[in-house]
Amino acid sequence: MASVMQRGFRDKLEKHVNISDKLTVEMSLNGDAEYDYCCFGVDANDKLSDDAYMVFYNQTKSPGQEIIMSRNGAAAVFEINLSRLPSKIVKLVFTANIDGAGTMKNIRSFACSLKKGGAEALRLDMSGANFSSEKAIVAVELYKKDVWRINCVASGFNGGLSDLLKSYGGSEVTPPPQEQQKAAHKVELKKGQKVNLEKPHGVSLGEIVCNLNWTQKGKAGFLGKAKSIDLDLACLYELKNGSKGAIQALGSSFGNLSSPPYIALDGDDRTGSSADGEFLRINGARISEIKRILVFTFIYDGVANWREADAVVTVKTLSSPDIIVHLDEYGSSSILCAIAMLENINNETFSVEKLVQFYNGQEELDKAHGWGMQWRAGRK
Amino acid sequence: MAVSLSKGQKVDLTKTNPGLTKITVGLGWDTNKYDGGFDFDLDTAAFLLADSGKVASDADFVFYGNKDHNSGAVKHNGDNLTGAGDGDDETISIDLSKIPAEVAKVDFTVTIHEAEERKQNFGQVSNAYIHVVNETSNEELIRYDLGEDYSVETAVIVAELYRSGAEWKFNAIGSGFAGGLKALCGNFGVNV
Repeated sequence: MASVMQRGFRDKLEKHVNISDKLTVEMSLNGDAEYDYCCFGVDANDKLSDDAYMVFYNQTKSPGQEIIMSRNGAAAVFEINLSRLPSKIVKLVFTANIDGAGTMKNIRSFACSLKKGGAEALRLDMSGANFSSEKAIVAVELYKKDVWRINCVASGFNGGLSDLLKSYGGSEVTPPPQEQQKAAHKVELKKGQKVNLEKPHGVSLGEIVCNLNWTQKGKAGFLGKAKSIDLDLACLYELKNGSKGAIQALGSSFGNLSSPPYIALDGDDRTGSSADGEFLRINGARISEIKRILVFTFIYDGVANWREADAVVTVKTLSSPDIIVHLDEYGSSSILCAIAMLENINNETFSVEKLVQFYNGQEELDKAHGWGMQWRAGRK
Repeated sequence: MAVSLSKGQKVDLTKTNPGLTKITVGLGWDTNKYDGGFDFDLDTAAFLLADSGKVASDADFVFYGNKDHNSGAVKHNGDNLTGAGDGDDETISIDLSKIPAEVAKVDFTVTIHEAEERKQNFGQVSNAYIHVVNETSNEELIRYDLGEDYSVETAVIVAELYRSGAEWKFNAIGSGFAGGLKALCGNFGVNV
């Protein structure tokens, strides 16, 4: 049976758990906002002198893996090994904060527990009634003064994560990229479906990243041979001034992000062994000069086995949900697949339309979409 | 150089500082750096106790509501309502030569005002200490840092000056209690 902690509770940790064991601190906030969790490993001056000891969703392990964060549904789970911490780290501060609007008085519940071997030793339960305008809660601190101790702080800051960073002097830590924050927000397009990229009011669209990723199946069976597929990500573009072209590894037309056509292809991943696949970047700040972009992929080497490649294109921007285009039609033996069309909408944003149409080459693609360029064979 | 004590330690005060009569007992603490909730109002008090461990009369309880002891031996220098600022938060001036003969010891306490209503306790207080300063030379003689032993208590008997023959000694008590100032008053025989 766990002992219940209240705000202000302090005790020696060894009275409740064997601190040479691996311990777990679990936190979960329940409510209508998005919540983030963090563990700050601070020095004797209560400062985060080493950013590597801020463990959160964007950095889930401390350097020596003394603190490892994972998720268990809505709960954040921090596995900790106090005896392995470097001596400069004398306090671990466990926090939860609201990402976005709302304050802690609106939460339904907050729970924090200290566990060893899955069994709860100490537990804190709170509700919105315990708070007012706080956006961040410091739940508990494990700290070393002669021996390891626990302090149930259960209090917070109105300024949320930035107040936490201010308090521990970690303002140098890069704020979490929005891309990570909205990881849960994805829109998967159906064929023919068209959506506009969301654009924050008054600012530029930023960089738009089209990522192509596909699976490389391992060898089939004991005697099977791995067949590698090389998918190339490419696009046709048309600028407002009438200039047109193709950006593709073929012919080394990698484009340029800072001058026309404001579109660039990252290096070619020939084998699909890179976990991240291929990237095509569009400079959203120059949207007014771009008319349309046709994103496509083609098989440079290997047979046209689209099912095996199981390719996915993700269109990412800073503020929009990720747009997922799954190449979910496999029947074709054609080597080229038009994935998506991006079109300029009032010089403000792009619409993204899922195509998934198969062609036998660039020229055929060009004709089908009325690009009107001259084509001749090229080699990488 | 002050003598630094830990909980339960006793030390000579006047024997090691011959001629010492006027001292200032200063107490300090840091509270809550967090938002929300109430200010922390910590109160110090001095109980002038007979051998029995009780006050002879309610007038022997010196606190924010009774700042000057009739004898002129003990004077509370004022109530800090928020705990803000560095150094001593509250001080009590003592003239050892004026302490009535029937007073065997003087206990110093810190309590949290309206702790229950404000849901506050000593676990939320950090860096609490008491020190004894020679009022004439301003030299710190004895210091006792309370450390990490306080949790959900709302009252602490911090230390005690007590007679040992013709001398005064200092005892770093550091005992925490529930029930705030009221409980301490009951303990020391003050009618509230």
